[in-house]
Amino acid sequence: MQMSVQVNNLVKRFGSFPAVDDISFSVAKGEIFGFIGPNGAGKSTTIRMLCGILDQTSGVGTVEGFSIKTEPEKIKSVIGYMSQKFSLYDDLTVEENINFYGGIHGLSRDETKTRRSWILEMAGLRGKESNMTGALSGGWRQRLSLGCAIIHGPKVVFLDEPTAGVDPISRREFWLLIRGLAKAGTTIFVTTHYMDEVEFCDRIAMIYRGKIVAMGTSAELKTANKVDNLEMLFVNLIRGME
Amino acid sequence: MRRILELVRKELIQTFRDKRMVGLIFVAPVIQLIMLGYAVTTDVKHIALGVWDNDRSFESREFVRKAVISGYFDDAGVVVNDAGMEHAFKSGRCDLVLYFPPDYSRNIKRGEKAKLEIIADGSDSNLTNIAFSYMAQIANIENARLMKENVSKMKAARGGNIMIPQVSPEPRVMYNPEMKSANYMIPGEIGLILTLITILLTSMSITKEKESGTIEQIIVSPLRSYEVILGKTIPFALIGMMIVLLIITGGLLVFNIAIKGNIFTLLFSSFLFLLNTLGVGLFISTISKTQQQAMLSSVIFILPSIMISGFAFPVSNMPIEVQWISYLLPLRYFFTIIRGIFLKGAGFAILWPEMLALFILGVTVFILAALRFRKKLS
Repeated sequence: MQMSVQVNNLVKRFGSFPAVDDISFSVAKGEIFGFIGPNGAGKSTTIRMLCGILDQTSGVGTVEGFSIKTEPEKIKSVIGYMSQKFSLYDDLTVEENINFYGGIHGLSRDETKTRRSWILEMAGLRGKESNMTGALSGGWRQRLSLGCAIIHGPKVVFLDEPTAGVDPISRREFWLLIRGLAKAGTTIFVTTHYMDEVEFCDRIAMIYRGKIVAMGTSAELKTANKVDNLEMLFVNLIRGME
Repeated sequence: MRRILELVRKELIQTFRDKRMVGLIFVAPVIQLIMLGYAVTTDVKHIALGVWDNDRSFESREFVRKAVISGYFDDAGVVVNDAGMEHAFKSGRCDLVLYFPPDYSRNIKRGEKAKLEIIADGSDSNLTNIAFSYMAQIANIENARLMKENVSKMKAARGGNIMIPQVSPEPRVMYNPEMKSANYMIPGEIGLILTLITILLTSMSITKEKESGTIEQIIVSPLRSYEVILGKTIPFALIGMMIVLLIITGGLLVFNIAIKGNIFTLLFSSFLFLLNTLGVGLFISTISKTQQQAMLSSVIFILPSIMISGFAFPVSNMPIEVQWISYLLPLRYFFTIIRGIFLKGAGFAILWPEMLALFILGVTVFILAALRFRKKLS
């Protein structure tokens, strides 16, 4: 199986505090890999290291074969990243946001135009092209943010808590979009703290205090630990660590 | 290139969309223009004095000595002729020149009226007025001395026919003959507003992206650091140039002040100056996490640099240590340049040392800032 993301013994310390503490995992091409854990567990820190936003303290990692340490600029041309805050410019219109992200990813005007109409369709924002982004509701912002993150057709998409603060219906629609992307061959690396979203992932890793405490498919984890509820499993694992 | 253009365009859209910001950028200069036109009066010391002595006598040297020991004038080195004087004024080395005609001492010895000329730069009308009145006082003291000397001679001659000589200074103004203070303040305002607006806009636009998290999207894009830096500075350089043109137009329409020198020299110098302010803005953004921090750091930098670079108070009036510091401030050179171009029609030939200083300072601060500006989160 071809690996899209591979991480070995990755560590990130802020001062003496280990935010990410010696984790290893790999994600196959076209797989939806879920990173589950509470706030402050190290999910965002891991994503940021993989995207080349943050330097790692030690360990190795590759994304699409490029080293996160020595080739972060190459990684940036093959990935899409959607941060927790749905990084959009509130004082730009929907269309201006899309044009900007297309532009900084080096898309030509024609390419941006094609992708723009796809994004507007996908996000259900047709007819709202000239609305101010700051005035959009949560679900729309989320889908526009996703659209901008994948405007250049990346091979791997990193989504950092993409469903936080979004209503249940929008969350569901969002996951259908994600599944569609994966089916088309895009690797998805997603973090969440909603346990019910585990079912949308092909494989998950549970992370707590910077360490991976369990990893596998939802079914594997349930049978191996003899539970029928992953939330219980997570609570039990954490209790074991206290 | 296309990526930089996209950044520039986005930045301009954002800046002009915020109506309050547009007000701040373009209305504030106009208000200041009008306020500063009706200027500030300040006390003056250490006026840079040049001497054009065609008499080379004890009497002429005595007059200069009196001027210097008064504490109000500093000898700036000898000015020998007409061309030398013009250069000294245009480069800002002299504020005032004393001209002694060849018959100065002869007239004194004969007991006649000895004329001398006080030629002032005149750009700074406040300084010129004060300098003239100081010179008049010094002439009075000299006349009192001559009187005393000749009274004893008179006594010795026992009522013989002794004429009492008198020195008579004649003031003349080189530039700004109407002596309007606006002529001095308004070119200065270009430096003032450019400093304020470009440092604030640059530092705040980058910290704003840090606050909203959009900086992360820029970091994960394939944009290179230099592209981000250019994309974040070119828009404000453009706005800066628009402000320069606005003030030039405003000065012409409201105060009827036309540029004596070449407008392109002025724009070129403004560009050199912008290298400095944009570099400082960039640097501030690398040490600030929030817009408030950026604003405060900017003000901390801007205020003293306006105070000690010669905007309202002559640099020569300041303690020597402060004058050394002012050599590091781009604004000091820029004030000399814009006043030189605006009021005296100076050009490259005269102002090149200041332009070179601006260029060197600007490139240095810009490179320092660019090195600190890494495309990473700390």
